[in-house]
Amino acid sequence: MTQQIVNALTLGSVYALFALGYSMVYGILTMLNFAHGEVFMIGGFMGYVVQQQFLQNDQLTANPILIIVLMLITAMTVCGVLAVLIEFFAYRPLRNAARLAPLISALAMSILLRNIVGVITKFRARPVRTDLLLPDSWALHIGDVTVSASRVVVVVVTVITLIGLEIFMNRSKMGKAMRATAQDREAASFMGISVNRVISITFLVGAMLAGIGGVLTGLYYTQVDFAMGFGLGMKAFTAAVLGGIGNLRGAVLGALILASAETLGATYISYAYRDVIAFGLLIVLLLFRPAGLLGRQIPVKV
Amino acid sequence: MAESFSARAGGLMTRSMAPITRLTSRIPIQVRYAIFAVAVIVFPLLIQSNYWTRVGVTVAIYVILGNGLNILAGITGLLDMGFVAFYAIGAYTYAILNSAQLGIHLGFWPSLPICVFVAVIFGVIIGIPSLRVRGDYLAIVTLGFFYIVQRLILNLDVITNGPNGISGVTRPALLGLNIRTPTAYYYFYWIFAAVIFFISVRLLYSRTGRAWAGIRDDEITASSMGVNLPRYRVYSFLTTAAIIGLAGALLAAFQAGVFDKNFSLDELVAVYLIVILGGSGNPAGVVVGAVVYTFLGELLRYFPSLVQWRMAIVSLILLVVIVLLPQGLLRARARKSGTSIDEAIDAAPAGLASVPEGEESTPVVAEAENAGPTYAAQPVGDVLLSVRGLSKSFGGVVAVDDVTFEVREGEILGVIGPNGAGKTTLFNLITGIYKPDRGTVTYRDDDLTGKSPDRVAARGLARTFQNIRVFPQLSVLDNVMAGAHPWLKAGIFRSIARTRAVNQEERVAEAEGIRNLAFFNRAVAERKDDYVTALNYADRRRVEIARAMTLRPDLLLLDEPAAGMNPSEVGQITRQIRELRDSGYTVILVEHQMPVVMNVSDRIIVVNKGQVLAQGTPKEIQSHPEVIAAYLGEQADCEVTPKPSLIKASPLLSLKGVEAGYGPIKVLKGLDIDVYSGEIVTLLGANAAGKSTTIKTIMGNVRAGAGTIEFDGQRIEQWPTGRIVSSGVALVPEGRRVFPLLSVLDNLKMGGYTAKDQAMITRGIDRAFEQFPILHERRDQRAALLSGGEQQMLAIGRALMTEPRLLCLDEPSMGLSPILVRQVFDIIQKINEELGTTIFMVEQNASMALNIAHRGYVLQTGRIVAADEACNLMGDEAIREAYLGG
Repeated sequence: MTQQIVNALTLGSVYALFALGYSMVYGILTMLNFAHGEVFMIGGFMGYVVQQQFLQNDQLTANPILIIVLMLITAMTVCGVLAVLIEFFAYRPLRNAARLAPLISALAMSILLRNIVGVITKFRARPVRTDLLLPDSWALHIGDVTVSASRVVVVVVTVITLIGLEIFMNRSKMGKAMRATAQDREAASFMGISVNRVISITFLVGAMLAGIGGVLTGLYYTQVDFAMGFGLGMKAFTAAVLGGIGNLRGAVLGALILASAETLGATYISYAYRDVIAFGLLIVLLLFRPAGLLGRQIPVKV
Repeated sequence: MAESFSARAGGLMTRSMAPITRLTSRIPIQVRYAIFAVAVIVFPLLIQSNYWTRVGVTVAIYVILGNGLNILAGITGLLDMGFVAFYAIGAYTYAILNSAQLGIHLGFWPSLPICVFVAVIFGVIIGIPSLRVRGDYLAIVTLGFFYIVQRLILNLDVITNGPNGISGVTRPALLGLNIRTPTAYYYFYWIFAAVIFFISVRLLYSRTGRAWAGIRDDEITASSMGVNLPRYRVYSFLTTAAIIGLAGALLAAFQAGVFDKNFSLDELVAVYLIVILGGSGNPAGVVVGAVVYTFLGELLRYFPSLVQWRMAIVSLILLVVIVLLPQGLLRARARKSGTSIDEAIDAAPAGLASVPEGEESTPVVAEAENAGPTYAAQPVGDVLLSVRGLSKSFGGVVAVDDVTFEVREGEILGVIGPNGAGKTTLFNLITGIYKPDRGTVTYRDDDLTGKSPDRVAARGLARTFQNIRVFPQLSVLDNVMAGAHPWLKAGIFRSIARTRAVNQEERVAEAEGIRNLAFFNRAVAERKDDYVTALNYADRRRVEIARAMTLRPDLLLLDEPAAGMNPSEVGQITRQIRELRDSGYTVILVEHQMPVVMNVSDRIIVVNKGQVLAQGTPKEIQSHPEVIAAYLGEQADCEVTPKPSLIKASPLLSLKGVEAGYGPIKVLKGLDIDVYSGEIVTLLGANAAGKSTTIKTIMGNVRAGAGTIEFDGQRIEQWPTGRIVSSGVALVPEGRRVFPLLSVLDNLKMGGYTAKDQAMITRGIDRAFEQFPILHERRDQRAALLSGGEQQMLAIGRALMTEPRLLCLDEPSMGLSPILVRQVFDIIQKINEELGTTIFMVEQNASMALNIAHRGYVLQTGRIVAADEACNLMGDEAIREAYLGG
């Protein structure tokens, strides 16, 4: 049981970091950013690229903690810049277009990025050397349960990131401006808030979280591949919807619930149908409570 | 004047579209089809290559796939990401029925309907969710469905043979001949493709197609035209599922096998590219898309190093097309109708108003403007519509409160009332868009209370919308014909077959639609085959009314038909509303332009704060003291004397010749306003006069099309809002617009977003809390939990955070109780006196505003009609006229 709680917590952490980006962008633009999954995947690869710089003869050439920190920083930077560019070139020109257009644009962007990375990596998975970065000897022993170092790092980094995000959104001027813009874009502009800048920063922050999530996912699964954004992305989006899309605390709650459901499902029902359970949950949820657990229904304006 | 504007707009459209249309439109459509058909037929003969013939077969399958998706995504506008699942289901059903997998060998022809049927069953399963979710959520639900089907294919080994797929599938046969060679497949499949193509063209231009396009362009309007939304959404899903299921079966028969790789995410993107590349919604575009996409893939084979980039290139093209060329390579063209205007008018049944030629040039303006209620009172008939005790509230705010009235056959009932009085909500309650909390709506003997809009429409109530809602991607005539939905009978199958009865009723609908357009003037009828978006604002209003007439209703509900029209057009529409009544319609009219209402209404009801304030003839209403008070506020003595000492040589804010609007709609038509330092200036005017637009133009949220705006000596009309705010202008927006989920304190801090330093923010917060102690008490509460009055105080405190030199207020009294209104105006006056802030205030409550203002301007339909010192304006006839008409 303890093992399952640990598993659910680890999985939930990754989902949460990933789901927040969907939720933030949806909150401000009411658009589903399909390409977010690929930004996450590229974050994972950035971790891999950094790791390769410090790998010689199957040995690390620097302190593993330092390497992990560098992996995270690189992933956050690259993902952040990438997402801002995506928004500027692929979404901003369509902001006043029919609803279908930005969605198609996002889908195309997602396929484009995935295939670019796919070609570069020859469509093969790349190993993340968790065995060197977070050796088994660092594992925690709680009673008779062993918690691997990678799980500890996933959970700890996630918790620190979420606390940082919470402080940013609620204390900083820009964080409040982001919330204000999500609530009433026009009124925000009347306050002198530059809406375009806020939207860019929303993409930036969401992508930085995804970058962290990508690196942690690589450490957790000990590999990264070009397609990892899609399946996980669907689940992260499920988590965001589950908690009430646009609601950041809801996204974290949704991620934990989904991860628990999946962990239990995989144990007691069938591992092969783990994904089916997640998507079944998503479909049922959207049909019966599209506003999610913490979301609000928005009335139609005629 | 109106005509010259519409002609200008029209000319512009034609010019800009010319290069594309001129090139292709010279060749008649039948000839274009014939050329393409010949090309398809001779291709394998010319190319003499099995490889290229097989490529041609792939194109045929993509034409079918693309046309299937086009119905759902292109025509109905439902973003389905799960259609590949239908494809897989069709293919696997065929393979299972024709292979050793389960030992069944049913044969091609018996299997085909089964494959389509199974796909349709899944269409029902996935179509039902579409009744509940839209847009992005529908995309994700269907994507989830696709993902589940993908998993099942891989894991249900017994049926699907998992990742190995099913091979050895029986090939099709036709008339005893086995289809084996690529050439045989080629011709065989292109026949299928042609059939599907013509089916989708016929559906596009049918009652069903118009209903689908209505759902895509504007669901609420579609349902107000009688379209049963859930039913037509499911129809769309089923049609797409059937066509794509067929494509799946054909694929399995062609490959003689089926593999999970056939149904990938890449395939999903490819078919979307096919639909969008050619021009979404356009069957011919889909064919072009399929050809271009397939041959693009073949082209890549000549560059072996690029093959692995295939999907990257495909998605890059899709991205570029959607961002830079959203209409695709082959822009869909509006349907050309088969009926001419003269035919339509000749076919008019006796008794219907038809318009003689050259009507639009008849000078009707002066006559209508001055007509007054001079006509003989119509004999009024039985009660047609009876509204009893109707009430509706939204989140605690009562919008309509116990409204009771009747409409008799053959009368024009005017409904007037100040902004936010609940007039449009009343329309929405009667027509079923909102469900009332209490009360009944009875039409003749039918209880319509809470019935859905399509059922209300089918019963004979047709409406127009305040903020014009035409279907932008349909032609003018197709827009109007959408109104014929309830009385046309054709279903999907009869529309595909185009039976004589269907042709006949379509012709009747065409003629009737054209006649209803020509009712307004011949010029708008002549544009029947243009896209409705090529029309100017006034003509779009006419299209809306013509569409409502085409529903064959007894009762027309017109929501501000004259809004945004110029004086000559207003005169025309005034006369025409009366003609509508004379030709047998009963009319309920919501309108802010008082000359219109006063001229045409037999009876008027005045709504204020959700309740019926008064009923009577136009004359009675115009002199009704309570009505005047509701519009202008209580008359009061003039307390403020002008402060000439304040008036310096150059004004703080100066608008010169400002014109602004939204798209084709010009709201401000050359405004000159000066506000001097230290003054309170108020801008008065009825609804829709352009008051809020003036404020938004000053704030930089609406761009001035002409003229200059100077603030403190600097030209600001091109500045972004942020810069205008930092330079010392702040706004209390209409409806307060506090940030509902931020705390009171954070709302104030947001007001100080552009503050120069922390000290300014601290000062602002202290000042707000001192001025409004209640805000201090509730500083950590969410703003949504404040009452309306408290929110208004918060909005004022928030605007003052940057210590602006000019404070703009948009309708500060709206929605507040009389005591609160007085309080708010006292605060405004205090701010002016104590902080020295210059104030520019837009207000409907003229008496209250003039009571504290130094000077005032009166705005009427985008122009200043009076400007004077506040005391002189008080009781001025210009104001009463601007609000209540002459």
